[in-house]
Amino acid sequence: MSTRNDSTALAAAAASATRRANLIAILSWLAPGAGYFWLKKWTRGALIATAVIGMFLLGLGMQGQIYQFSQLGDLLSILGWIGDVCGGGMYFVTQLLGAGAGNAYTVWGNYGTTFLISAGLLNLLAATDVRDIALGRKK
Amino acid sequence: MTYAFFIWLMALKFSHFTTVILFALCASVVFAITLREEPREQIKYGAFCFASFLGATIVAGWVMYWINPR
Repeated sequence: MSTRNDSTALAAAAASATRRANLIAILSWLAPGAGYFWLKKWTRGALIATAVIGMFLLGLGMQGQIYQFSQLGDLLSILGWIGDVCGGGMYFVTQLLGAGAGNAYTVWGNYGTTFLISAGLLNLLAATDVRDIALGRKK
Repeated sequence: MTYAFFIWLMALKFSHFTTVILFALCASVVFAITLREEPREQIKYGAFCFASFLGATIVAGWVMYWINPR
């Protein structure tokens, strides 16, 4: 009886820890670096926030294009949109401000688009890392 | 101040190599933090990634030059 109660309590604790880790990962996706700050990893959070947000701003500054859902057509634009959405809050704020129209006719515009997509993918990588740390799989 | 920042931001025109350096810097920081645990390992891995990005770019540049040296 006691063993059964113990295993039930352990399963509930594991589910709770997983739920917490998922929430922190979502927070990290929405605001780059925030998940690390939540876990009191101040230096890592600051570095991730600087690198990811900096890369995103550089992309915007180089007149990179943010892919719109309504403009999706070929496979490359779909993949680009997925990369942009991985930017989380940065993507949604940019959409709200109407920025990221892009300029595909300049070299810098294409570089900027690459920067924007890469910033999103790096943000996703950081969010999964935060989840691993929250679950105790990584220090 | 904000307006001046956006004017500066919208006028960014880096050379190809400067763009690569900025890309490599940001990507290396994220790779180092997410793929290594100890601070010393992170610094070493970050430096390795940064050097690899730059090295691969220089090699690719020379390869393209040899393919079509115009």
